[in-house]
Amino acid sequence: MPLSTPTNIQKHAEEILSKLSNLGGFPQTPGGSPLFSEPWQASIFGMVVALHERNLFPWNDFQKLLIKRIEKTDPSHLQKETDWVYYSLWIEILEQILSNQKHMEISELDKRALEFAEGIRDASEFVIGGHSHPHEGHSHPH
Amino acid sequence: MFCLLYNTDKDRFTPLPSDGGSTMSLEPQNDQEIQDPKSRVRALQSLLVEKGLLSHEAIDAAISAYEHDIGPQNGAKIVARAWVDDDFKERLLTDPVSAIGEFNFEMGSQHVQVVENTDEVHNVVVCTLCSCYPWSVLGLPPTWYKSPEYRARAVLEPRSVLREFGLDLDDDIEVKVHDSSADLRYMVLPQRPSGTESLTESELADIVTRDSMIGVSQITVT
Repeated sequence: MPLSTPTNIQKHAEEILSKLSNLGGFPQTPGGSPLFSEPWQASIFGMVVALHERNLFPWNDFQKLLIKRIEKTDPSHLQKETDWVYYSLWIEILEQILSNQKHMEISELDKRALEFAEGIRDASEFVIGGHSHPHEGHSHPH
Repeated sequence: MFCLLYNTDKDRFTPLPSDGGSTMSLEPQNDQEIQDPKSRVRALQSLLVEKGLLSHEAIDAAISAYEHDIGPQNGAKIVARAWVDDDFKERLLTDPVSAIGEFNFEMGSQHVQVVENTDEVHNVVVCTLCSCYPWSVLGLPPTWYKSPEYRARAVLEPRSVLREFGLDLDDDIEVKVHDSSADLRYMVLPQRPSGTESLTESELADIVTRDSMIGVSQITVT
């Protein structure tokens, strides 16, 4: 839905509001708050930003997919678990982009995710400097 | 780019019907919820690195930049300079990209427009479609900025929203709501509070809050 006029924006806002059953107000965090409520949210954010910086996709492409996806998302769900749902959408969109660009298959991702879920793989593979010594040999940027 | 104008007491908000909750189950369920985002994200990272598309260092660097270097402290420096340097302020309002470029921030390709609060006008920023926000000068948006409630109500009833943030504006102050997009993101230049005449630029930067640059609060000094 193109939102080219204030009337359309107003309608869009009314539509969102009509789907919200509980208005909870806005928790104020004047001193700032943690950027991410769980580490996986930081990870997906970091991957998307780093891939964009490597010109894998223009930011507007990501943004357009995000807007479409948010439109399809139940506002009351997004309201209740804002960060969780929001960054889950980032995961979906990045998967979609990588799959469309033939960088990886969704089935490949499904398989790898299962390996992590079942403990066949774990996060030690992400520790910079090696698999077996997670607390040593850090930070040797290329 | 549009901007919605609201005059005094023009909030148009119709309260929801009290049976609003019962209709929720009739909503189309388009969410294909990711059950286990942690494993999903790990799988992505594992495969991206394995295929040589990214390094762990690059991912960590992107996160670290936003955790440490890119945040509202950048916007606060811009505001403080605009308060002490009229020429800079003029440049900031007319050619923000070049004015902000005078700082050594990681700017990216975002186009930021700066809107000034005055005795007559109070500006508020929202993104009704998603979460567009001037990352380069304010960092990542707070959770409430991404919430459907803020995205909808900031447009429909900005004065009520501001009151909930503790800002009760006089009726003769015009409230302007600016809808950010991927192409144009807004930052508010808040008013300099009285009683700060003796502060240096750097001391002024310390009193500028993130919320004042989104427009949901004003800066006060005690």
